[in-house]
Amino acid sequence: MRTGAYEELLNQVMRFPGVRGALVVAIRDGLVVDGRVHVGVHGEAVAALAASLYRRACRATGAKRGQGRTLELDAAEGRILIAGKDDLALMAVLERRANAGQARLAVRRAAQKLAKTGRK
Amino acid sequence: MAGSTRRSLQELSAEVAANPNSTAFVELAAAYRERGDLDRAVRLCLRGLQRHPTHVEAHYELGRIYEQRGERELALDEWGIALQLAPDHLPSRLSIIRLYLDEGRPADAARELLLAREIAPGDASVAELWSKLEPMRRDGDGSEDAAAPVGLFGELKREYPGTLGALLVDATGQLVEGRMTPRGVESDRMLGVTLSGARAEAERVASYLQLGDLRSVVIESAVVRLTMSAVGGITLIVATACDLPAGQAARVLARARELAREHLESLGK
Amino acid sequence: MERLDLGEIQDAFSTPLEQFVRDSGVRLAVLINRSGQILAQHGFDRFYDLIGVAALAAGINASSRALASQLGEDQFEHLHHAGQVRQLFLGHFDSAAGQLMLVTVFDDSSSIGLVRVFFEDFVRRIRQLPEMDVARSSVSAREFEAELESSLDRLFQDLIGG
Repeated sequence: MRTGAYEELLNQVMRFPGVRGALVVAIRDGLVVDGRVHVGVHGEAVAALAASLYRRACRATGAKRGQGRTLELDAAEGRILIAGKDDLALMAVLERRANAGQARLAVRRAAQKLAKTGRK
Repeated sequence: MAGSTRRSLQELSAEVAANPNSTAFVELAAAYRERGDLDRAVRLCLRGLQRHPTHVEAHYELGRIYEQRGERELALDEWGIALQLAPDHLPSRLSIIRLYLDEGRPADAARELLLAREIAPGDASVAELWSKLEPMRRDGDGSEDAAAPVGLFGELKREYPGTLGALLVDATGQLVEGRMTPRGVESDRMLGVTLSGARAEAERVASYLQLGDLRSVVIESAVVRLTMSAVGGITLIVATACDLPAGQAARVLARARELAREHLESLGK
Repeated sequence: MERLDLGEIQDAFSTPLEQFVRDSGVRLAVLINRSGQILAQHGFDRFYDLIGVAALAAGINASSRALASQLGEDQFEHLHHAGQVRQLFLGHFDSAAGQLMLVTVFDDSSSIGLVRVFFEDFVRRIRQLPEMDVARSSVSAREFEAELESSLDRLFQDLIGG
């Protein structure tokens, strides 16, 4: 998967040990805008499925335009972190060994920058 | 930072410039913060944390910078991380308490002060903050308590201030037990139905992406954190205040799961 | 040229199609061949004129092949049209039963990302159907017979021609 406009943002998330993928995703379409993933991570599937879950979570919690949400899916073999607002979200795929606290903060910071810069 | 032994800005800058791995960036960031150069202070701290991600004082300092910039949520995040790394780090705990007192949140402040008192029983700063808290608690109208959930999860809120409520929802979306403060029962039912659907979808995601069994799903807004997990085939949804440190929220969830399990066993589920 | 009577394996398409609808959350899914013949269908919006949709989708596919050819491509992998409320996805694939096309209609309960991901799974399931193995062997047997007849024709022609 080639990276482009959001390379620096993605690098800030990918630098932590145990992070196997970082994606900028268009929430409505569930499509990858930009991303970096390790071999074995199906970025498009992560984007599509996690975006669908994220949209449902936003609807369930009454998120309005301009209101961000973060979502964390914690499973036995890994985690997915999503932080976003409106059209775009930052997603990270983590192994269990990853420091979730640091990754969570990195994803949030990156998502804040994403919300400020918007689509490029 | 120490007064008489404080180094000059030039000395600190030179040290950091000569050695990017130096932890002097923390002291330098503090110096910039005190001068009011907050943007530079933030950049310095963030860059330093890239090399030293577990540096407790750096997280604490970054929290102070964010607080001065008015970014209170980010400040709480940083102090929360400092406490995750070092639960006995009193300055971070006291900073959180001061912020809660400023925002008129006596229950949250009280919770943190109890922890601070355990760490440092005779500390003067802790005593001072208690004295500020007492009038607020006397003057409180108890509105938080008036909306407190009763029944199964009432105990949870009494044990853990910062808990907003909890629900148990079955596979069909029916409410089994619980209340979300200050929502009414109908709102609780709607929330239960939509969120139990979200948990089911999360299970599908975890399965398709081969992440193993789902443990929990957490949804966070600016104010509330909702944590969903399964207890048997029933969905447990716990709501906590967003600024409750993640470790504390995990304790709330664990206790809620215990209460839920006991309740479901008593119902024969 | 159809290599197999699709009526023989039509029933087998329903299960993968239902799985696709469940996974992707689309409202309507129709599987057709190049001629627009409906092989399987599933969805909530039963008021749609399925035959009309299938014929139009076959036409769109033919047009897009022509356009792809102009651009130097063999074929576009799939087409996507987004409306105000509903979206349309057409994805085609080769199989032992000839070229088939999946037409789906979805709204906010799904997304183009989900549809694309689960379309790949759907194609894999179709190709792995046991009935497709029968089709492949039938195609092979027929092709063998056709080649044999053709060879025999040439042989007799040579003999007669002297």
